[in-house]
Amino acid sequence: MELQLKIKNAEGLHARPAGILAKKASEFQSNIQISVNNQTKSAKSIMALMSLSLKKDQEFKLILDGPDAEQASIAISELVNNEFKS
Amino acid sequence: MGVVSSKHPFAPIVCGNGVSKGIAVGSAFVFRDEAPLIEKPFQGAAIEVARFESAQATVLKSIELMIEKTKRDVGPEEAEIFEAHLMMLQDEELIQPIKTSIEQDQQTAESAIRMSFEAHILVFSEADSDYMRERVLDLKDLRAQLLHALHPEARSTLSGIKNQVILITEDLTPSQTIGLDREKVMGIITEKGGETSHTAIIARTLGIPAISGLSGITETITTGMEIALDGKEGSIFEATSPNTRDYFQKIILAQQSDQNALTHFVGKKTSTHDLHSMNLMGNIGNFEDAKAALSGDSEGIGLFRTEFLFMERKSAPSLDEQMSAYYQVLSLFSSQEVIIRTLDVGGDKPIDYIQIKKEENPFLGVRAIRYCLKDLPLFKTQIKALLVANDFGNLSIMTPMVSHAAEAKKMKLLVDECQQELLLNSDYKNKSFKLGTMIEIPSLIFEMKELKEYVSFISVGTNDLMQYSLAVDRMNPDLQDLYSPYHLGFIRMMKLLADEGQKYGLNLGICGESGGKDEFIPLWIAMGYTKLSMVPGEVLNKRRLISKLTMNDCKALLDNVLQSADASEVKLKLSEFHERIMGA
Repeated sequence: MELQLKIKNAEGLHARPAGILAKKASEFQSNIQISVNNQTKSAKSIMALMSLSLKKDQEFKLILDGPDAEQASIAISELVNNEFKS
Repeated sequence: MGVVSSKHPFAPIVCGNGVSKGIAVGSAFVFRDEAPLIEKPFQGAAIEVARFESAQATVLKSIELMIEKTKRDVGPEEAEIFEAHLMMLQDEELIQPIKTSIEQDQQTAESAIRMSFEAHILVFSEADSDYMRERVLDLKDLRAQLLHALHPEARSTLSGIKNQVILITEDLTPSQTIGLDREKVMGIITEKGGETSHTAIIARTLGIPAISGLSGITETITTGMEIALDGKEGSIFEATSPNTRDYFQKIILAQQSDQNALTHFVGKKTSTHDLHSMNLMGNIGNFEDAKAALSGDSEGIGLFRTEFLFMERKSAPSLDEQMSAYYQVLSLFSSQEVIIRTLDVGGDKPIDYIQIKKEENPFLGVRAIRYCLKDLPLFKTQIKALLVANDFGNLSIMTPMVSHAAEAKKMKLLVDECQQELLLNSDYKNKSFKLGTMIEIPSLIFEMKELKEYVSFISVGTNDLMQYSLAVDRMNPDLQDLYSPYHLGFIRMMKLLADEGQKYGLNLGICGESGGKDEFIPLWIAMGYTKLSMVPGEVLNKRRLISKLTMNDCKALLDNVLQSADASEVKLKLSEFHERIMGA
């Protein structure tokens, strides 16, 4: 499954939020990727997420594939929409 | 680079961005961070991979220690950067290329680490945001730690600082900053970084004065030079003469004793010298502010501006979203009162999805309660979120821009209606709360008798009350002399308001800017205001000020001020009184 999300926190997807996101994504079995500007990277890797250099208001595609894709998509959208406040 | 000017009677050598306030004086120590460049011959892939893995394990362990130390000494939020480091150093994207380079290209652990990090550093240094470019520092930090772990004999000189120094360096990595010996490092000057850099944040929390953004400073200043710095204005001075050093030492001593004196007031109740108690509360806009208010010893929240929850988004926040935002603050203060102001939209605070027709005079237009009473679904959602969130707190709901008691009545009925609707749900605990209004519009002063039927407290928004009673647009620079709280008319109005409020048993507070102004506080006390809400960081200062006042002195000052000829005489009397009290 795929869904479109938007970065809301002021600083963008820098180290801390990237870490939180990677950690959350790693809790799921599914293959989870983020796609933006023709680049597709693993959402489970903090380095990969940081290298996408996503900024505030930038949109990206979340691509999920696996048994728990549904739960993962809910958990991740919640995280992104709550500006990574855990 | 900043302007070369200073409030101190010396010419600064140079000025940068003051990122952590405070004065430091001492000898400079110029630190150049060089990751060890030692190379060893290739010892075979298995051995090199093992060397790398053991370095990785050492660094992971030391990062874990840093996380603990940072949580303890600085705070959990600052520790998050190290948690990110921890994840980066275990990330396959970083680790795999290092191993590949060892195994396939026969590189030593050292050069595999260097090359692999360099590739990542390149990506980040080309990013078009400052935040991403700052991540280069995180990678350099990890790289240096790995190389140091491979060569413990080449330990960095930073941890070995023996005397008290002012540290001057190109930039500090997060691990270096947290590793600093607070007893030894009196000040920090860096070439790179700014207000939001990690070094700046930690320096502020640790209370180390710091200046950044001074490229070339590691060349201008040499180790051993006597210098002084002012981390507020960002200025650096030569301090070779005893005169200069004495001057700055005196400021440091004065600041220290002032700080020590303030800590005496932490956790105390606020009262005048003759034991008239007052409540000092915080003005906040979000949960971060609330935490600052709590650590600044606020006795509750006197104004929680909810409009920030509604701004910068495409639709209004849901009931759940609002509830959790209110709940966070209410539960943080538990039994202490939290006054939450309902949505103050319009005027100078437009919100995209709230359609208010273009108005000739938005400040006199459909603002705040006037809008909310027209958009009941939106308003009722906010009221319900407040009522439900009150389960674990001490809630007061305050409505802005009420011009007649009739609006307070509508508000009261609407709150009752929301309560009834919520009661249909068995989970709703129906905890008691208070209702109040702000006083920003003078007409309400003359309807206190009617108002008291619907509310139990009032809080004066002095900024708007001045604007509406003086008919002065507070944004208009040409009218700034008219927009002043020193006008007799304004002071008498505040007195009348307090008299009327007391006559009808209303609890009196001030949450506008003048409420927290040193010189005015004695007047508010004399008039009978008991709650002052202000910038969270000011509470201890004001508690100390109030402890020096007596009700008699405050009343005598009020009488004296009311006899003045004009605003300038009022101002003079207030500042003379303040100086006398604080000098004593």
